[in-house]
Amino acid sequence: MKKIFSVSKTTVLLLWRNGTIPALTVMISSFAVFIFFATNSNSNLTNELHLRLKYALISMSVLTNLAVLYIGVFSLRKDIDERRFHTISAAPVYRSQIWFGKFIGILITASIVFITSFSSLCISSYLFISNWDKKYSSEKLKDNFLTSYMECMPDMAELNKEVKMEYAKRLKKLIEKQKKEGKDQEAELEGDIWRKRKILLREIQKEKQIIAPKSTSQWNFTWSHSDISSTGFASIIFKSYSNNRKVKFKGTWSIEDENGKTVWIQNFEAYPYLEQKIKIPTEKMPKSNKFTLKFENSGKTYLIFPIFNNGLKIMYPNRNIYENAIHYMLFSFLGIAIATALALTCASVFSFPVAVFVAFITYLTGNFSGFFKNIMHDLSFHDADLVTIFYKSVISFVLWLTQMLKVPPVSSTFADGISIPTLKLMTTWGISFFIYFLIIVFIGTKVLKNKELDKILTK
Amino acid sequence: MEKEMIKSENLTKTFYNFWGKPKTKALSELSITVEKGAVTGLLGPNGAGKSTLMKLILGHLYPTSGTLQVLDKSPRDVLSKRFIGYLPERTSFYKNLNASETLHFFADLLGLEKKESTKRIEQLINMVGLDGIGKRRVGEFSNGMRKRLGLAQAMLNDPELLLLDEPTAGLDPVGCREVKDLIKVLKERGKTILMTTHLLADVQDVSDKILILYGGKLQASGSINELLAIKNEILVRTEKIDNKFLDQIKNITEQAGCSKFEISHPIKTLEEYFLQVINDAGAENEISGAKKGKGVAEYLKNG
Repeated sequence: MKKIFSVSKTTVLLLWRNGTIPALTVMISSFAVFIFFATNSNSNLTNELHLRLKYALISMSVLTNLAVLYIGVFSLRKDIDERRFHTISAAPVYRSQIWFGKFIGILITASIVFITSFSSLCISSYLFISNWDKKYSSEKLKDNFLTSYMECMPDMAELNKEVKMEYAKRLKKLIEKQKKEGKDQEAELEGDIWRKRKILLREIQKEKQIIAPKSTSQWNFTWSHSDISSTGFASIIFKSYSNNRKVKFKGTWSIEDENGKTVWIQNFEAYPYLEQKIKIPTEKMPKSNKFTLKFENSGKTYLIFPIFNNGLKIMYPNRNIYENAIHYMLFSFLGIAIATALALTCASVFSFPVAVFVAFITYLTGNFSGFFKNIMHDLSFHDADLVTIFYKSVISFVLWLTQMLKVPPVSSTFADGISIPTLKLMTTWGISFFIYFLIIVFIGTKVLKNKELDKILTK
Repeated sequence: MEKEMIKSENLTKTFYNFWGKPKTKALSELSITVEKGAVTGLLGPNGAGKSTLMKLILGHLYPTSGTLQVLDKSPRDVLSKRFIGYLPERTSFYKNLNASETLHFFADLLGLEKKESTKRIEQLINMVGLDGIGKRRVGEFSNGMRKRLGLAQAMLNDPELLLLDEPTAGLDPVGCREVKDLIKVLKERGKTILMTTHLLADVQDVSDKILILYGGKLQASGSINELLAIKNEILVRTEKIDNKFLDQIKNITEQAGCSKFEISHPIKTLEEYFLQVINDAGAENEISGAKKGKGVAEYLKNG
C-alpha cells in the first residue's frame, strides 16, 4: 500500500505543480457558476434554483469526467512514452501498483476539482437566495428546496405486460387485414406496417391510460414507510389531459393499504393540462410496503393520466438537501472512478492519440446511449432476419460496453430536490457498476503487466 | 546467493512487426554469465544488442527463446529487484520534482524506512555533487546533472547487482572519474556491476571482464588483463635513472636477443591532467551547477 500511496501522492503533487489542478478547478468552477447565473426559469425562487442547479451540475459533472479522461490517459501515457515508467518499474514495484497509484492520484485530483466546483455552486445558490428581490417564504423554501423528496412511481410491470399482449394480438390482426386488402407486396407491406406498428403501440398505451366518466382507475405502489423523514406532507403529482380543456374535471383520490382499508380520501377538482399537486399528511400514509392509489372520475369528461411518461407519482419528504448532497457526491465519485479507470486502461492498451480517442468515444457513446436505444426500438419493429439480429447484437454490445460510463443519473435528481435512492441505485446501477469497474481494472492492469514495455511505447 | 548473478543460455530475442512477422533478431542464442563481485563491461557497436540485453535483464522485454536468470530468478520477478540498481542511458525523471523529492519517491518504491532513506538521500546528494541544488526542479537540470541524479537513484538500495547503461555519457570528466571511483569502491565491497558504454577507456579502467557483442551474438569474452595483454612483450617501469644505466639495460636486452627496445617518459592521461587542474582551481569558486562530489556515500563504503 505504501508504494501505491507514494505513486498517488506524486501524481497529485505533479498535477498540482504543472498547474493542472488549479487550472481545472478554476475553469470548471467558473463554468458551472456561469451556467448557474446564465440560466433562467419562471421567476419562482425554488424553480429558479432547481433549474439553475440542474444545468450547472450536469455541465460540471460532464466537464469533470472529460477532464479526468484526458488527465488519466496523459498521466500514464506520458510516463510510458518518456520512459519514466521503465525506470520506475526497475524498482521492486508491481506495474499494477503503479496503475492503482495513478488511479487514486487522479481520483483525488478529480475530487478536489469536483468538491471545489460544487462548493462554488453552493455559494452561488446562497448568494442567489440572498439577492432574491421578490417575496418568498422561508417555509416554502424549506419545503421545496431544502427538503429532498423520495419519488415513488406506480408499478408498471403488469401494465406493460398487458400492453405487450394486446399489441401482439392486434398486430396479428392488422397484418392479416393488410394481406386481405391485397397489400401483399413485401416492400409496401414493410413500409406501411412500420408506421402502423408505432401508432398501434401508442394507441394501446393511450387506452390503458384513459379514465372514462364514472369509472375508477387504480395504481399499485411499492414503498417503505420508514423512508419518511419528518412529519409534513406527501404529494400526489400528476398531469392530466381531457377531451375538453375548458371544463374542470372532478374526482376522488383515495389510498388503500395492503389489506384494502382506505386510509385517506379526498375530493378533487381542477382544470386539465396542468401539473397538479395534492398534499397528503404523512401520518395518513399507509404503514404497509404496498398500497393502492385510486382515482374515481366523477366528472363527465374522459381523462388521461400519462403514466407511461411518468405522468403520475407520489413524493414524500425523505431527507434534507445536505444529506442528499452527500449521496450525490458518492455517486458522482463512482462515476468519476469509472472514467478514471477507463482512461488508465486505454492508456495501458493504446498509444497516446488512440487512447484519448477511444476513451472519449467510449464515454460519449455511454452518455448518448439514448440515440442507440432509439435505433434499437426502431429495429424491434423489424422482422427478425439475420441482418437485423446482427445490427441489434452490435448495438446491444456497444450499449453494454458503455452503459456504466453514463454519468450516474443523480445530477438532475439532486437538483430537482428528489432524494437520491441510494439503496435502489446501489442494487441496480451499483452492481453492474462494480462488475464493469472490475472488468476495466482487470484489462488495464493485465495489459500493463504482461506487455513488453517497448511495445507499448507510442512510436 | 549463487556465484552467477546473471546467467543466460541460448537467449534469443526477435522483434516482430504488427503482422507477427520477424523484423529484427536483436539477440541470437546468447549464452553469458556475470559472476558475483565482478565488474563486467558490455561492449559492442550500435545495434549490437546491448540495450536489448539490459532490458531483458530488467524484465522490460521478454525472451523469444532460451533462458535468462537474474539473481537465480526470472527477470520478471518483482521482489528480486530489491537487490538491483539501474541507471538508464537516458535518465528521465519527473520534471516538477526536485532531486530530493525524486529520490524520496524511489526510496518509497524500494520500501526503505523514512529515517534510513533520509540519511541515504542526504549522503547520495552529496556524493553526486547535487548538494545545494537539491531544491531545484529536475526540469531545470542539465543532462549531466540528471545523470548524476540517476546514479544516486540507482544506488539508493545499496544494490547487489548494479546495471549501468552508459554511466558516464553526458558527464563531465570530474563526474566520469567519480563514477569510476564509485564503481571501484563497490567492487571492493563485492558488488556486481554490469555496464555498457562506448567509452572503451572507461571499461578498461574499471572492468574485470568484458563481453563483446556484435550482431546479437557474443564475439568475445574474458578478463581484461587476459584479453589485452601483449604476451610477447614486457614493460619495465622505474624512477628516472642515469643514461649510462639505460645503455647497460639496452645491452642486456640485445644480449637476450631482443630486437625491440624503447625508452620514454610515461605521460599522464588527459583525464588525470584535467582533474588535477579542476581540483586546483575549483575549490575556491562558487558554481551554480553540479559540484564535484564529496566522495562515495558512507553507507556505500561501509555497507
